[in-house]
Formats: sequence, structure tokens, C-alpha cells
Amino acid sequence: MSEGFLNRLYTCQALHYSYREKDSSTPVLNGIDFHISEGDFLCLTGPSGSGKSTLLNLLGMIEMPQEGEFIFKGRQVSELSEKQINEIRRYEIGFIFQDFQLIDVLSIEENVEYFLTRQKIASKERKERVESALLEVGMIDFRHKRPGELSGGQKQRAAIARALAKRPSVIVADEPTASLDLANGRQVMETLAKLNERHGVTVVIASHDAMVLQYAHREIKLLDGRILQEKEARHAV
Amino acid sequence: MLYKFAMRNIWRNQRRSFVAIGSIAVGVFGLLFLQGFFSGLIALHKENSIHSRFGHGQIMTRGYWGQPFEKPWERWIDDPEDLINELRAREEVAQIFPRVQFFAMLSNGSLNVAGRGQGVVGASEEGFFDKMNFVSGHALGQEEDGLVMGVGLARALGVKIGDPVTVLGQTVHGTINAVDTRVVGIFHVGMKEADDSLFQLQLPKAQILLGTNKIESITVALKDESLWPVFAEHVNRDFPEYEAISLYVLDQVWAENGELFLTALLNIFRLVFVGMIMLAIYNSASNTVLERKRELGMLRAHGEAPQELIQLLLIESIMLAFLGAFIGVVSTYVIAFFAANGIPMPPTPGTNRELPVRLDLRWSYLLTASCLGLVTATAASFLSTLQVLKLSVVKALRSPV
Repeated sequence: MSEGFLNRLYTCQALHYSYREKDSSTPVLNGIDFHISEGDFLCLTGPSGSGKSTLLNLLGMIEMPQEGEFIFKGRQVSELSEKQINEIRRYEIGFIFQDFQLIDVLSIEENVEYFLTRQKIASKERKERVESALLEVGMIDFRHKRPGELSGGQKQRAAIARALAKRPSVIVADEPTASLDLANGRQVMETLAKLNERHGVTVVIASHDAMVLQYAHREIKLLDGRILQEKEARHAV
Repeated sequence: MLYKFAMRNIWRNQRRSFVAIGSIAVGVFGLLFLQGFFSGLIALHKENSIHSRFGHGQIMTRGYWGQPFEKPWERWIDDPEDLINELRAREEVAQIFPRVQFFAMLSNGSLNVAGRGQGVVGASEEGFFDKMNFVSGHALGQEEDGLVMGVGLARALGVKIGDPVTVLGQTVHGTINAVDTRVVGIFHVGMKEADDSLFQLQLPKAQILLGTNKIESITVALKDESLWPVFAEHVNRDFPEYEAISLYVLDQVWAENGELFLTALLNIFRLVFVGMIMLAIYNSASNTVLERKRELGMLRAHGEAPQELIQLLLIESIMLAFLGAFIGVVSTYVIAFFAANGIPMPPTPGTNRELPVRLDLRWSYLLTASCLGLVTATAASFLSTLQVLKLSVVKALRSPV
């Protein structure tokens, strides 16, 4: 894994973020400095309220920092238009949520395919990508099932397939194992680790779960909106 | 995929979709039914006017219609044969009926009642004026001494079929004259004013009474009502001393005022139905946005722009609107089928006859009602989904639904 500037995906310097109400402002991130390289497998840890989910939201560009330098693939995010940010989320970022967030009325296959149609990918390539992603996460046999017919682990693997099929630069996962038992949690993490190893997909996870750390390359520990510790993680795969 | 997604979303909340479809269906049904009904009502009254009194229009000397004259016969048509023959030769014309109209007293020997008389060619008018609705007796036909009168006039005079009636009037020379007639028919044209005052006798007899060979007007029956503008243009161009007066002027109460009144009423109902559709769809679409907030947040996180979410929600609403409009249209046609003989209605203002109104459904009405339903539903849905623009992705992802 190279640490060179050229394969740097994110560069974050002095990031600040506060939740602002009418008359008050609650600081959540207080000057965060770090970077993420392509192919990295990073785990954000810390107690509740430490700011890890907010930082993940910034990395997923569903929230924007109020201060600091935030660079994605060499582009200052603050200088991008709303449309350009949407495009980055559409093409470059795959999301995995704690509660899976699959579309109930679509089959697993359709859930995976939906965002590819929005990327205006031709039908043949779409089908190939869907099949490949479902094969990758071991969900090809469940392709015609609806989310309601699947277990939590299966749903999360389907969500990974959905993220993977987009061929994103980074997969951003918020507590992906929190709703799963240990066995299913491990299976999900093994799937993510495999994707990271085989396809070089950058993975950023925010998690409370100690088991998740076993799969990460790097851990950033947050406390009260600051980086408490940044270290190489114990690698289980 | 987008359409499949939209379709399944409609199916996801069946009760709400059913209510939305129902609201649009009722709205479109109301719009189409009312337009068809009012149009049928107007057509019915117009048909009644054409075939009971006015024909498709009348020809008089220019400036005569609607003006009071001390000696109106001075403005009547002298030696009308040439004009009648020329008009008969027109390809739009089916029949021509010369007439005179005058005021006179009718006497049964002991009682006098004022009335408005028409001298007509009974034999030729019988076939065309078939909406006079004789409650007893028959049309004038060829009965030289015959007289037909409105039911109200007959009641006032206390006469029945076969009774002698003397018509007392003033000649064009100012002397009093009288002709003896016999009641052969009592009619009921549906207009109270006409039924209470109108009577008809043969044109030659009326001319004897009036002491003139002139005629007041020529009533025209065309092959089709739509030919009137062409015919009127011809008359006004080729016979500048005469004037073609349309049914809309002759029967202003119904053919013009009635139509204007019903159109105004229809527009009020349109507003009500459009408002109903608007509120129902706005409510339904707003609930959709609220209930699917987290899903919409997820779609935004994956790069969907707000306008793309609005597009998705609009597709759903448009599908609902199409389905609702289709059901509304089909329901109207089903009712029109079962009410093919007309919907019985009490007499309308100024009339005294119950008329079965047939729904007059035309493509233009169908398009108007459907488009109003579709546009209203789409606009309401669009307005309600604008809240998506203000959606915070993070808050939406954290919302309970």
C-alpha cells in the first residue's frame, strides 16, 4: 500500500464541523487532519458522540465541513457545485448503512441495478455488473428475492453488492455490523476485506465493533471531535 | 427500471394509492359527466327550440328584428316568392317556411284572451316542427280553418279540440277584422311563455285577418345546423335588404343565455372538482414523501439529485392520475350507456316540461376532463414533492421511516 501523494483519495486538514441550531452551535469535529489513500481499509472508532459518524458523512459528502481543507482525488470539495458533488456520490462513492437501506419493493437484483440505470450504463453492461457483484458477495442465488425475505447478513451483503456494482473509488460504511450477529458480521467484514484485497476498493468504516478492527489496515480513534490516535490495525485477513 | 420502481411504490401503499386514484376518478367523472350533462341539456333545449318554434334561423327585412314599430307590416317582406325560390335552391337548405306573426284576441264566444298568433303553412311545417308535443288533437296540417294553441292558452280560454274560436285582430289598414277557426290541436312546447300565449293558424287565413299578402319572416330548416354560418353569410351578402337571424338571437333565453349560464355553472363545478383533486393528491404525495423519507435520503446519498427524486415521485403521481382518469372516463361512459334514454330532469327555469337529458359526450370533453385531472394531479404532486429540495440527507437517513 503506497502512501504517495499521487494515489491519495482524501486529504483532510483542520476539518471543523458543528451542528448548528437557531441560537446555538455544537462542535462535533475540531480540527481533523488525516488522509486516505486508494486501496486503504480504514476504521474510524471511538465512543458515541466522538464524531466518527459525522466524519464518515463528510467523507461520503452527504455533509460538508464548515472549515478546513477537504480534498477528494485532488479536487477541493468546497469549490464543487451541488451537481458535481452529486456526481461524485453517484459514481465514486458506495454507501453501506447500518440498517441496510435496501428498497423493499425491488428485488435484490433490481436494488443492485437501480443505481446503474441512474448512471446511464447500457443494459448489457448493467446485467454483467449486477451478476458479477452478486457473485462476489455470494448472493447470486437470492437475486430474485425481496429484501423482506432475507436475513440481516444477507441484506447487508446485498447492500455491499449494490455499492460494489457502482465500481466506486471508495465504500463508506456506517456501523455495517451493528444490526448483525457475530457470524453474519464476520461474513460481511470478510466480504468487504475480499473486495479491498481483490479489487483495491478503498473501504472506510465507522464502527463500535472491535471485530471490525481485525479486518482494517488502519484505525483512527476519535474522541470529542479530535483524532486521539491513528495506528496500523491488527490485520486478520 | 424507474417505471417499475414507481409502479411498485404505488402498489406498496395500496390504501393511499386507492384513495388517490379514487379522488382523481371521481374528479374526472364529475368533470366529464357535468360537461356531458350540460351539453346534453343545451342540445336538448336547442333541438326543442329548432323543431318547435324557430327552425335553424329566420330571414327578415334588415333592421326589423328586435325593434318596435308602430306599423310593423310596413317592414314585412313584399312578394316573397323570388326570395323563397332562391333560398330553396341553396344546397344547405332543407325546407323554407314563410310566416307572419301578430297579436290578436281569441274568443270562444263568451271569453276573450290575448295571444300571439302565427300564420304558417301547416302542411309543410308539420314534418319539421315535430317537437310541438300535441297533448290533444294534431298539427295544423291542411286544415284550412284549423287552429292550434298552447296548453296554457287553451286552459285560459277554456277550449278543447273541435271548439270554435274566433280570432280578432287589426288589419294593416287599421280596421278590426275576424276569422273563424276551429281548435284542432293543443300543444306543449315546454316554454311557459309560449304555451301561455302562442297559437297558429294557416298563413292564408292569417293574411286575410291582417289584410295583406306580405309575410313577416321566412323560417329556415337547414340540412345541418352547422351550415348556418355559410347560409347566413350568403343571405347577408346576396340579399342586403334582408337579414339572417340565427337561433341564438331568436331564442336568446335558452340558446344563448342558457348556454352561457350552464357554461358559467360548469366552470364553478370545474373549480370544485379541480380543488378536490388538488387537495387529495397534495395530501397523498405529501404523505408519500414523509413515509419514504429515509428511502429518499438513501437515494440522495447515492447521488440522486433532488430533481431526480421529484421526477420519480411525479412518475408515480402521473401513473395514479392516468389510472384515476381512465376509471373516471370509463365510469362516465358506463353511466351514459345505462342512461341511454336520458336522465329524467324536472323542468328547467322558464320551462314547464320534464326532459330526459342524454349525456352528450364528445372527444373534446373527454380530453378536457382528463387533461384537467392529469394536470391538476401532477401540479399538486409537484408542489408537495418540492419539500424534497429541502431534505437534509443525514436527517432523512436518521428519520424513523
